[in-house]
Amino acid sequence: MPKNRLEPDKWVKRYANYMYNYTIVRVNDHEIAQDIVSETFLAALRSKNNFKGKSTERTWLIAILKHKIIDHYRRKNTIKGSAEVRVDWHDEEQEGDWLEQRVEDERNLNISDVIENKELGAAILECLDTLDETHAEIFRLRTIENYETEAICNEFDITPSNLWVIVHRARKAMMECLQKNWI
Amino acid sequence: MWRIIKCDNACTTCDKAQYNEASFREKFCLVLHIIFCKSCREYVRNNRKLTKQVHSKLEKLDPDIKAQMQSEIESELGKTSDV
Repeated sequence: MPKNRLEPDKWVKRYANYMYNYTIVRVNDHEIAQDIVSETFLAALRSKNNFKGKSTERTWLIAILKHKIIDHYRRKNTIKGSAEVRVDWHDEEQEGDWLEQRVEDERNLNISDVIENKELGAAILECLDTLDETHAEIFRLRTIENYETEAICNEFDITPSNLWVIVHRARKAMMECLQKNWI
Repeated sequence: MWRIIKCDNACTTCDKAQYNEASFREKFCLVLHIIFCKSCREYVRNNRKLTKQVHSKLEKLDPDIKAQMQSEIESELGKTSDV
């Protein structure tokens, strides 16, 4: 597989499920997660000329996805903030301070949510990041994106027995990682 | 060979079985093997657990939604290549 080149026509097949799960553990809403993933693909397409090939396609897409998730929380806070102004309009004494504090709190909460979400789903994705890159890629394609064994063999130019050795190592590392970080 | 198959083969069969790719014969050998082999029994247990965790915790996008995303990308690609 040619590394560090963009192949937008394969993005959905290769990364959609992974990115969707990455998003869902952070925003906790299926429809919003779907929207964010498809927004990310379009944003990535628009800025595909900025891709320098220094990172892998996946890392680059995830970086854009992270920005989109943060944007989502910013938007959400803005909407909440303006609603609160209207609700608290009459409360002259506390209004200013209270609103500011409230908005700030909300934002901090979201950020710490993003960082410290220790749900099992998030733990699985985190463990995936600790694996050897090729192992993680093959495990991800086979297990999360539901690629056929043969398709992966063709794409990576390996034999099925190579593939099973890699899957075995990846699964073993995943089990160890999950046992250590989750129970 | 009292263990019927080697541990390596048993592990591979178990991995394949997680993706429904193990044949009946392979699975049969695996079952006989783990009766005697404690470490493989452990591996089989953990491996099944991993499959269960991944299946229950990671979600799959609806194929229709994937198709929609794909067509959005393709139409955007079409636009940029025209320019």
